[in-house]
Amino acid sequence: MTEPDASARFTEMYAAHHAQVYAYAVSRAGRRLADDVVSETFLVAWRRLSAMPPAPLPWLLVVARNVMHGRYRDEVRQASLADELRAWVDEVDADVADGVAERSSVLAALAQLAESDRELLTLVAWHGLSNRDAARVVGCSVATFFVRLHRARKRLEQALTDVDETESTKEFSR
Amino acid sequence: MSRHRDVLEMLSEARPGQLDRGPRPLDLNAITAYPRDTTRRRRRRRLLVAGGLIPAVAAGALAVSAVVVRLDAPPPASTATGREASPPATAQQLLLTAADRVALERVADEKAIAGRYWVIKTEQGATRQVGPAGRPYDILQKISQESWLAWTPKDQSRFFFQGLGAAPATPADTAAWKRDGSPAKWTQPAPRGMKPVVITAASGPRRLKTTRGTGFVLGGRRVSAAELSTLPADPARLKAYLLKQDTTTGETQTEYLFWSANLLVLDMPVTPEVRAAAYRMMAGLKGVTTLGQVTDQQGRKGVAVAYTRRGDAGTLGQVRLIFDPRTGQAFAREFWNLGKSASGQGKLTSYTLVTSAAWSSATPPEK
Repeated sequence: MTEPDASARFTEMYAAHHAQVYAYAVSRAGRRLADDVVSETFLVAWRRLSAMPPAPLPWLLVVARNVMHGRYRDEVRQASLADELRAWVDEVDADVADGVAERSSVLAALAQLAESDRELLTLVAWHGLSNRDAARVVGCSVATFFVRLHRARKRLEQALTDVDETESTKEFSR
Repeated sequence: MSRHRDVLEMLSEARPGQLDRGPRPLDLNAITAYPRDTTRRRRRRRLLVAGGLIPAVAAGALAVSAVVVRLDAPPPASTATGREASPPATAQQLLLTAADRVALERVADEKAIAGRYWVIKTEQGATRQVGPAGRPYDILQKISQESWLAWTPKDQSRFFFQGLGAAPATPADTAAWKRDGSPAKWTQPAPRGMKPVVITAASGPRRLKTTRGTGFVLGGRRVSAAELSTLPADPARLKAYLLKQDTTTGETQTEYLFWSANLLVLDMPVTPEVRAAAYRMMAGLKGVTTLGQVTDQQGRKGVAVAYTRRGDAGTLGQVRLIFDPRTGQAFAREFWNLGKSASGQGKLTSYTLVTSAAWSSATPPEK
């Protein structure tokens, strides 16, 4: 790859995917860290451009994932993400539109899951990745991914039931 | 609530809008200006040297700007005596005056447009945190860059970089550096799979990077010289052109417009009319303020306009553009972290300043 090809390819890749990388970064590390994660991800992506596959999104998310794990101590990232998860629920609660109660419950339930479950579920539900690509991002086989996704889904259902019960108790005691 | 529906579907529908605000604008030239990682050993050695500034770019988010071009050299400090200029009070007035003044450059440009290259010299700096975990301090790392930007894709652009070393950022940082044993180099951890980055206090060698053709980035996209020469010279149409390239909304959108206008007046080889339009567009943006008279990192006097946004972490991030109010020429851009409130001193995060810029038809240096 010659240099001009490389920078043209990089620029196109950035234009096509920066919003998705940002969304992923927010969902894994919160907005507080997301801008840093995005810029570092694209720096690493540039330096590793010769390794970039033709459909770069899963690869970019792997880079972003490594950046997050390498750059921040887990507590720092978890704290930022916890703020983010709370903010989602709060902001949805402040909204008066239809279907808000359901969205709020789903987000609250999501917040209660273990991070590994949350990651699998959001890769598929929010970031539009196929199961194969999502498996690549988290670094497991597709078969393993299916099993883990199935379990994560069950746990989300359970958490959702718990959240709803808490909510109705709240309503009731008012 | 119904449990008949699939939870994944419910989760999809609950996708928070916060995911879609989009990142702060990134300066792609600042990234692609650095050598890529290849499998060859020889390149790895160079990477280590080049690696010095890379995380700084990331740390500043918007951070260090790289490839820059402007029509004319900025004013020397001695001629920029603030008092005669008596700048108007508001950011809007300053920007509109700059637009009028910059449009007068026309004649000089037409004489010069025969050049094959924009030759532009910049100095860039970035603040980075180093030192022991319990007692960190800031150092300011600087590089100089000389760019020979080919106007046609037939010619090769050449970029020369030189690390100018690093030093503690403030007197307080100097004290902390002494307590750290006055090190002459600092090692920073890298993301997994990457080598740690070593920053040295001493200057480094001059390095060359070449690319064919131009390489101007606007709106997150590479634009050709031809496209730059057809940018609208009307503020509203220029704004519409820029918004077409971007999908962000709200505050982030204003920041994007300010940032793009900033590139047009400081970095891009555009006509004086387009630069005037960029100034007028900035004048119409909500939240652009002036800091009055300032000096850049080389002590040159000008006025600054700024856009400040409260980041999601609650701290205020500010982009400043410094220009000569008498000629409308922009000559520096700075990023500041103001902390939680605007009343504080704030901390310089990074800057780019232009030391000279001119057309040339000469052959670029080999090294």
